Amino acid sequence: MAEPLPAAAASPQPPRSLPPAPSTSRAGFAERSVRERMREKIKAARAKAEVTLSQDDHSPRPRRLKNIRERKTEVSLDKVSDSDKFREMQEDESRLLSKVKFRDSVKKMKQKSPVQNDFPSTEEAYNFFTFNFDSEPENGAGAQKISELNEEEEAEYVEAHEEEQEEDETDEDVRLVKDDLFNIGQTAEDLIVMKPADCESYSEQVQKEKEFLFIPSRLTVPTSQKMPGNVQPRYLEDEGLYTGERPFVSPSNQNIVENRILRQEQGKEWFGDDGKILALPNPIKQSSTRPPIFSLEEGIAPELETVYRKAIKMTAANQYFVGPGDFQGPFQLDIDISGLIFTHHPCFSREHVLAAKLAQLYDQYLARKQKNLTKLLTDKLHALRNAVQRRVGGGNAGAPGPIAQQSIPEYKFEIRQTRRLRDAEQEKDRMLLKTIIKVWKQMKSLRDFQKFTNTPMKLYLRKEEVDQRSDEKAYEAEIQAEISELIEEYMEEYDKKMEEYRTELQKWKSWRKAQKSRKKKKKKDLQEEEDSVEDCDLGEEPVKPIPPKMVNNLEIEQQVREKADNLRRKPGEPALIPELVLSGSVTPSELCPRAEVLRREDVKKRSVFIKVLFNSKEVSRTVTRPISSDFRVHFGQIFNLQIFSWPESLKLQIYETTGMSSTTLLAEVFIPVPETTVLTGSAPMEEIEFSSNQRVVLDHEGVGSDVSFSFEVDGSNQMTLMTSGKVSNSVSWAVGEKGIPLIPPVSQQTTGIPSALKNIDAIASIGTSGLNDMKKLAKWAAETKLDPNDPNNAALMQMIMVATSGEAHVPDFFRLEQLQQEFNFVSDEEFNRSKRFRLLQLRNEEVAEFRNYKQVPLHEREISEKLFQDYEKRLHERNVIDSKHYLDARRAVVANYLQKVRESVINRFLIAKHHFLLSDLVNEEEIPSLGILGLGLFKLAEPKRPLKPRRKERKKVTAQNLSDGDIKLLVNVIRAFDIPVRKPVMSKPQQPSKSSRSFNEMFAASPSAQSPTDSADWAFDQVLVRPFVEVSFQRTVCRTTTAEGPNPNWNEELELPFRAPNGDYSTHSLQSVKDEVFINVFDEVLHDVTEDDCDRRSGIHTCVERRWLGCVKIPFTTIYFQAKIDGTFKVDIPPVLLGYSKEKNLGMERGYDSVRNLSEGSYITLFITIEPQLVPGESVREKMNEMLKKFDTQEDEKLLQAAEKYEAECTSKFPSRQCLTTVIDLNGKTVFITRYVKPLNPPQELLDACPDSSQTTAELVARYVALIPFLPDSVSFAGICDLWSTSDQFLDLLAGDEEEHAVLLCNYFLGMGKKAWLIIGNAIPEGQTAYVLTLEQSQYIIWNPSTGSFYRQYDTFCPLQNVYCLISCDNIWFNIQEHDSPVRISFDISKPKLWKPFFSRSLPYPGLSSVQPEELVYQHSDKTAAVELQGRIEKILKEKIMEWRPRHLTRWNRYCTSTLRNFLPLLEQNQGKDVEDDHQAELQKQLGDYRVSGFPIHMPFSEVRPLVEAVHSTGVHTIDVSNVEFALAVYIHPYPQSVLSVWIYVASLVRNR
Amino acid sequence: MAELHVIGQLVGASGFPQRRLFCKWGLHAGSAWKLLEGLREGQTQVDDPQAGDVAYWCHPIDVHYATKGLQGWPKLHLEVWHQDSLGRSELLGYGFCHVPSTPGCHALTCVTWRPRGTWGERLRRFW
Repeated sequence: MAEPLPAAAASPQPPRSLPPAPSTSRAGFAERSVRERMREKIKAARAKAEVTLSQDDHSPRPRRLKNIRERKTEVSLDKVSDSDKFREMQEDESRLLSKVKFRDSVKKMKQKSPVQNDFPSTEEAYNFFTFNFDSEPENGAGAQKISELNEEEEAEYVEAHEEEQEEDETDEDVRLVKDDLFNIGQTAEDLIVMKPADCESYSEQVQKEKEFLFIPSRLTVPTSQKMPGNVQPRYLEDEGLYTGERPFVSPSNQNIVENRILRQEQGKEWFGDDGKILALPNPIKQSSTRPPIFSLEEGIAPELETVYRKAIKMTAANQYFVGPGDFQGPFQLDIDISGLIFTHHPCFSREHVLAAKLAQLYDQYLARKQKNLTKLLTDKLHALRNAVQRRVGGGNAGAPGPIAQQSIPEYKFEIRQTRRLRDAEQEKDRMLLKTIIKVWKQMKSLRDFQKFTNTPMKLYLRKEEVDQRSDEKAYEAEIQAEISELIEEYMEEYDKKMEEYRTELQKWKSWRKAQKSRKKKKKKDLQEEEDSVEDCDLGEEPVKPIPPKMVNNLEIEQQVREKADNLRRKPGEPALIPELVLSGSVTPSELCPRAEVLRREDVKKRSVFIKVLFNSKEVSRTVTRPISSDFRVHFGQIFNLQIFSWPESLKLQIYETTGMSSTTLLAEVFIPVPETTVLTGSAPMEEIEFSSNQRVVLDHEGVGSDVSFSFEVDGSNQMTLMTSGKVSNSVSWAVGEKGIPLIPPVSQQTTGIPSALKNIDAIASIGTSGLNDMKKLAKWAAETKLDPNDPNNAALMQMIMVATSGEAHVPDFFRLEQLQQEFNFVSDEEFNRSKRFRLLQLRNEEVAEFRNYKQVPLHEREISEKLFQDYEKRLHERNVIDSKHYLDARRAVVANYLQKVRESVINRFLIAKHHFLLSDLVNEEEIPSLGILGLGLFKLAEPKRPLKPRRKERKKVTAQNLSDGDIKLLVNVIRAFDIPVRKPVMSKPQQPSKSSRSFNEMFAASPSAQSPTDSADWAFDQVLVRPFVEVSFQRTVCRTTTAEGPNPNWNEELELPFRAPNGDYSTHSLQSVKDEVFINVFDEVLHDVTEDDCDRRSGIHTCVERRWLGCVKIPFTTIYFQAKIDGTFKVDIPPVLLGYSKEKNLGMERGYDSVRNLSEGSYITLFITIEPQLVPGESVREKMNEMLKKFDTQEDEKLLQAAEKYEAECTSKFPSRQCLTTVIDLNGKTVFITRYVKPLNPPQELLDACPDSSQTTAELVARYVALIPFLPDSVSFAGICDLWSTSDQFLDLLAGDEEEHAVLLCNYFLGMGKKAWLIIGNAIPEGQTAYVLTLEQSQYIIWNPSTGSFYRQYDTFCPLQNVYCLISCDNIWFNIQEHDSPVRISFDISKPKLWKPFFSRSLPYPGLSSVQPEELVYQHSDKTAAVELQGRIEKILKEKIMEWRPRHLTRWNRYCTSTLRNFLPLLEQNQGKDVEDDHQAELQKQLGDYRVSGFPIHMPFSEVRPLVEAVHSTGVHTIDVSNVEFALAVYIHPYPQSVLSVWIYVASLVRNR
Repeated sequence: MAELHVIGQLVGASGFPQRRLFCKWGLHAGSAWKLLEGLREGQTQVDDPQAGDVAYWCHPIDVHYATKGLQGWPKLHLEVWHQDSLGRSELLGYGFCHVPSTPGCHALTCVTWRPRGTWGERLRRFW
């Protein structure tokens, strides 16, 4: 809507006439009401304006306008704050304000204008979204289809219209409003005085401006002003701190700002220590990050030019990658593997073992000798002794300081320690030497024994002659010194002990004394005290201490000497120095015994190599080298490992190969990763020992590994050796070209450090290992006084900060969307909690509860929690079987299972639904060609024949763009035949006593009495029945007028609205509508309720009562799929109708006699259709079937192809006839249809019931099958597909549709030895269905499996209308006759001209195995459970009836109930047919005093709800007579496999007066 | 918490060397964005313009997003393909554009490109 015209431009205009309301408008009513309201308002306003105008007649309009203009100019010119004018302005404003206000109120009145206001108020928005644009009632029949999109558009269009109109109106309003306002404001304006505008000189103006304007000067502000107090400016940069570069600001600007800031309060806060304005460092980089690109090629923008670059292999895409910033190229680790020495090997001979031992000992010896600890310790001892002596000596000369005094015992202690150590070392030396000699001796003896040598090892013992005297002297001196020291030590100890002894003794003595004195006291003391004293004394009784012994000097000397003998070389004895040489000759192989030769050969075969593993990945391996005879392997290889990060592990694996093939892993050796200081060239060779726990037993001289052996002859002193050895290697960091060591940064956790340390030598100060130690690093940082402001140190500082604050958590992941968390509006929880979003999503996912939810509220608060409750409950209880709603636990399980199957099917379906075919999207109507046009023209010329109306093809409407109220169900009730008639007694309630008595007579006489050929008496009395039909659908009820007689003719059309569940008019939703159309036939009974005759004279007071006679149920889905239903249906009349009899009105229409005889019962002719005609969503169904077919199948591919071909051939010839070859089983697999047909055994119980008559048995079996509850697939599976369950599944589930019933019945008939086929055809009212055909005595009989009734082939009332194909267990026949009505075809399948077989000579029957079980096993009927169930149902139903009669008292007639209860089993016995009238009579007799109306209902049991519905639909409870009583009886007859037949007898009784 | 409705259509493509074009499209948004309703990606039909250069698809896009943060504003990814007479599909170009961040009706033009390929690949495109 445009803004109203500006005030000045408003000119008087004639009021525009309103545009005519659009005829197609859907918002007719609402809009009109608004419009009318508006019109009224305008009228009122106009009237008011006229009144005011007439009052203020003296002010003509032009002048007013001028006034406004003048005022405007004045206002714009006014600069001087003249008080007068100011007042005027205020007035003006107030007036304007009021105008605005008025306009607003006008707007508000209209309650809308979402376009005008950018932000509609909540109320407006709510109205906008929830307003229901109903269609105008006129455009009912001819309404063209409008897509939902269109609908919206149209709604908008209508609105736009409205707005236009309102705009006009607003204009008017505004004009009027203005008139009003100006009239009011007239008086004030007349006082305005005119004046010329004042003018000021420029200088004056400047002067004035100076008063309140401040212009900061551009001069530099002295630093002193900027600094607080007398503080000198401090320049951080000069102090060596990093400050960063300030962004450039021109000095004059800077000065201006400084001057301005200084004038401000607390302006000095803005200045830093250096007297400059605080500023962050310049964020602009020196060089541009994106360097300019210069193109080489002409004509292509340089940015778009593609440059070929060779693919780079991402080498380090793993967690070891340090980071792009620190990446310096590959680092290098040099691993030098020089060789391998086995200290033990399985191929060692005994001599080798000894040699290895000897070598080892010798190595040890050498090592010890190199260290020469003994010498060192001895020297130390000497030095200490000297020191002590000097101390003591010095102490004598001068006054010994207290420190010296103290240090002497320390020294002495030291001496003792050292001596002890030296002794130990000496002992070791000596032991080593001894063992070396011993092993050598062993070796020598071994060589002698085996008479050959394997090793070149030889031990020489070099004797070193010593000077005997000096040696002896030293020895003696040593001993003496030791002795003296020991004595001293012992003396000290003795002193200490002596001291202890004395104190102990003192204690003991005092104790003794006390003891004695106490004993004396005791004698005097009283008895009582004795105990307590004794008690406390008993505690301690110290033993008399023993004085320590004095040590003997001689003893000590002996000790020392003994020790010296053991440990030390005897004085004068030559010092032995062993020398191991490899100069010995090895005995050549020819001279060796066989075992030894074998061993040597074995050794030659063996070779060794080493693998190098970096981070447990093999990176390289050495060459394979044979083991030499001395078990040494030389590799001498250096491996250069180029790496990217700090290695996690370095490992060597030693492998041994024997001969050509087998390679065994001997051992793994971990090599320590070298320190960063270890560089190539300076790295020492290291020997790393390894050993293997492999057990090797050899058959030659080799000792093996992990095998015990002995050197002794007697086998004692066994030893076990493992394969072991030493690898000599060295690992070091390589040095690069410039001498830079190629060492990666230490590890992941210290990522930040190395870059920070590039410049500052932290490694030098704290060592490499310190880099891993946070504390050390922090300390170092503090010591070196790192500048925390320097960006170069940022990483390090942050590290240290994190480390010291204790949160040493460095995230080891990389986040893609950084700062996402920080910028979020809401938290995740809140986001996920949003009910609106959840609702939208669930709706989008087409979750059942929300699939068709319309108009999701905009605000959270408008969505109630309850909305989700059901859904959550369902999710929660999916697997919990709720037995509450099901009386039978078994059925609860079945229902649960079905629910699951349904869900899975629906999910598949939802997927299929979003799969669009071309025909779904492209809907092109054929352009009328010239021929059609010509025909049309020709038709115009045709003579009009109003008496011969032609059927017009109705336009089909696709279901999706419909809304509530668009669809109507038209039911045309034409006529009925053979409605049960009242027994005369009923029509004469005035004579009850007589009727009860004469009932039997009456009954006997009735046929004659009711014969139409009879006297006029009958005609007079003809109110036999006054039937009317009531159609109820979706709780909407429509009825016809009342007709009379048993063959009424109504010919009335009833119209019932249809409302799809959840307002979803999509195809699949319509297919799954579960509602049924109930067509109930009632009898209207009038009876006089007038009490006495005097009343009767004054007026008629009759009561209309209706009694249910029967009903026809037609599911909506059938109507939907069939588009129209036209036919005569059998009315489902209860077997017993109290007070009614099914009498045949013979002679009325003689032509039907034969028919009548065949089929007993009442019939009603109906025509049902939907307006507008809906297109059944076949495409979805087909698609689904196609999809399902794709799922999987176990059928042969050839068979499926043949089936497809067959189907295609058949449908091309007869497109209306369905050809069924494959169906889908419960698992969604495609199964060939004949597999379902197989002879099966019916329950034995049924066969035994009537062994003589096969006819009755067949009927019984059919009845049994019919008793299994009916559950159409199209309902349970949303009209998607037929799922065929096998007979055992069907019996388990106890629910299925026509196919399952038919298959089971057919199988039973086959099992009974009949010839039976499955008929696939079309029936009324089921639509496409399956029936069973049997051949009995050359007569074809058609069975309806879901009702159990049967028809002969030529039965006109057979519900089966068309026959498409026949299926037996080994073939399929397609009907290729001209007609398909069962009456007009031949069922002789042997004629290929009439029936096209699937398996023929060209494609013989392959012998398909059946999917049915071998045999059906039946559970026996559970009588007790049935009785229990019976009681429960009865209780529930009684409660329900009472519930339905909330305003009345419901009395139960026990007597009648028990009578009925007895009556029901009889009905079951007779299968509800031809109930003996005797029983009825009996009942009548027993309840003679009552007017009884009621009937039994028979149903298969599935759930309670249908039973309740059935009882409700009869309307027994609706009786309003005050003294009515009720009777209700339930009987359940159990059949095998818990198939239950339920009988409910409901009756209302009114006592006759 | 904010919501974004993207309603529009892929009108068509022009300036491609071949006719018979179709387009694969997808809306890509950051992790803060949640799809409430609508299809995030799709493919148009093949349009073979009889006259003129422009292939018209008029393919509807109707997506409803909810977001908890502005990062990752939705982008429209487009791939223009050509279907030749043998039913083979060949990429002619791809590109992307941001969904406009101001409300209202916007006409967007997205320039597409594809790598030229080596001469061998270029040669192979002829077959």
